[in-house]
Amino acid sequence: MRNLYWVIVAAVLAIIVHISMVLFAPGFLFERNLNRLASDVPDNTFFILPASAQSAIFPEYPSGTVFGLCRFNLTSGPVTLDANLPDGIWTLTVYSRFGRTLYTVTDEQSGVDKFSLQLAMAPGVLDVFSLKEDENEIEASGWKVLSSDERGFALFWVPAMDKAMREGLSETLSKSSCGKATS
Amino acid sequence: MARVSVKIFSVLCGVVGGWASALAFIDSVGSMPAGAAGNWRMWDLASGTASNPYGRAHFLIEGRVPPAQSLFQVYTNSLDDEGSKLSSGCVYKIAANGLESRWWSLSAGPSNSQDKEASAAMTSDEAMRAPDGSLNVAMARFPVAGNWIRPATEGALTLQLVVSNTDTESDLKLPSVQRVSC
Repeated sequence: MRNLYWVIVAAVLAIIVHISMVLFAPGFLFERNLNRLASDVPDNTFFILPASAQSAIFPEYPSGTVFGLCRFNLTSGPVTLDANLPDGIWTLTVYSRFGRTLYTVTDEQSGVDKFSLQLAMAPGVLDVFSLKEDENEIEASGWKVLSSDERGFALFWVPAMDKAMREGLSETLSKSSCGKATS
Repeated sequence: MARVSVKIFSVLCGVVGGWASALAFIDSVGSMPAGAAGNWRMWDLASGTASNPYGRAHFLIEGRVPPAQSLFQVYTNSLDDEGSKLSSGCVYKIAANGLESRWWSLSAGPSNSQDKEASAAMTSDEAMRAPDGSLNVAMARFPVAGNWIRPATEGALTLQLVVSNTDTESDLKLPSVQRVSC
């Protein structure tokens, strides 16, 4: 009977470790890696990922590829991402801080290379009932991403035909900006 | 003394069992066999209510960003067409017909950022195709004429194919991986 108790303890412990390894540990490990790569860049600032850091989190992409990042923090209000992209293939993906995809758009879907995207906190259950009509209209009229997580990052991906193109693509993409939304 | 041993053994079994089963599930449940031939596996990176935590964990646990499934499909393969493990000591011919996606990337992992000479990734922008549209890529540690990817590390290798989503994704034929020499 006593051995059965310890078998149950082992099984429960195994389930807890399994769930932690799958659901929680990967997100924290990823966030720690991202913090290390961009430790000197403040939140709500757009930057081009250096080639050295790029190979650590995007090993499957050649070094000519350009990645632009904005790590957003919505605790003090919405953040606006003003995108300035080169003509050609690109994608934008908005992730939660634990790597969950919140939003994606490509050059083919958007049809434009310059646009603004607003990132804001998703309303809580109680907020949904207290929203005024005009607030809903604002949400429906623009490009807006609602995140349930107050922190995350927006990632631009621009492929280059060869390494020599990286500088030019970086220059165009670096005109993008990310900052607290003006009301 | 025996009672203490049972307690320690139970705790160890729980921790090691949970850890080992998570790693095994991340590889097996996070991906599924892709294509009729070959040993390619497709990673399930769907978002929202259909998301597969095991597929996402595969990327995040290595500190890598998981590509959004609405934009890219990710395939990996660690075996050649005869079922042998891919090794950096061998030369492989990766042949594709009909890889017509708007953009794709073929890379050999694991990566090693310290190896500056490695060119372990090739994209659709760089690849040279034969007049009939077919594509042949050599994977070897030493230079090979034509399309060539050089693994960055010694030992076991994994090929990764990232394909942008297009209207013709259902027609995608995954490349064959043939061992040429060892």
